[in-house]
Amino acid sequence: MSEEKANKLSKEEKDRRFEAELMPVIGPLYNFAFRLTLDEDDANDLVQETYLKAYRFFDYFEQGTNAKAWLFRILKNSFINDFRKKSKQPAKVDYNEVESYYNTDDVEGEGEMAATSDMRSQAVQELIGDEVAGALNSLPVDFRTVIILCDLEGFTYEEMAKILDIPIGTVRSRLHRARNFLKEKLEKYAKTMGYDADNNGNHDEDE
Amino acid sequence: METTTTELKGDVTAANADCDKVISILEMIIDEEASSEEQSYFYQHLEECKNCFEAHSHQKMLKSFLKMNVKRKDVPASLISTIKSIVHETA
Repeated sequence: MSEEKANKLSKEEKDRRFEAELMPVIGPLYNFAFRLTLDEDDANDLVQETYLKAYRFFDYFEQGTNAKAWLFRILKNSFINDFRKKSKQPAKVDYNEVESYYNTDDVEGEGEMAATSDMRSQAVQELIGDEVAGALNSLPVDFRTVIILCDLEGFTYEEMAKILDIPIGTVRSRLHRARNFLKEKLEKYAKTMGYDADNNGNHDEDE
Repeated sequence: METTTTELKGDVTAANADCDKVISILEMIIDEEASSEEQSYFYQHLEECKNCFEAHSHQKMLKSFLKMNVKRKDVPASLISTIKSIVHETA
């Protein structure tokens, strides 16, 4: 088949390929949109817009290449251009604000959480899931983004650099900071789950 | 809180240089971005350094903990059908 022909697909063929190659990514894409916007309607709009843009530029998409990274990149750009501008979110991360958020978070006050520490039930699992999601959502969007891309979606640093339009070094340092913020927040849940790696440690909580 | 580094202070200077390097590539190791050279250097050091061994376990734990516990949302069926129908109608 000549290249010209390959570039000018019939509408039918284009639609078929579009669905076969790009629609399987909708799950991760929707989750990414939701974790960025933290709103189901906005996530819907964002994903829809992403697919329409992808359809418009589908001729430029090379078959068999990384469809997931391509769509994530389109979505992230749409988010910045159309969604983030509307919100009052600061363009740059205000570290002080983040830190004070963590400092004011009343860890001790949650006696109920401690009481469940020896239960390995589904309910606890779900509760922890909510708390983890809450901790993730409380991160500034740039930090949240790298955690999602790396730890939840399994993108490589190189793919992340392309999706986010930043150097790999920045990917690494941003990821590092994001994880440090999350770590603090999550440590107590890790312990609740019995994931504490240091079993020699003395936990001076009286129970 | 738990174990402190005080008891290990005998060999601080030599150990610290290695520890610094190991910690600086820790996340690359976890993310499977380190070269094979870095990997063998890293894991060899872990065998002889309790602190770095623990740092590695913690970091690894964080990653799997997130993956396991951040619930994924189901895509609304209406979103999929909307996208498909808009696409089909687009010339």
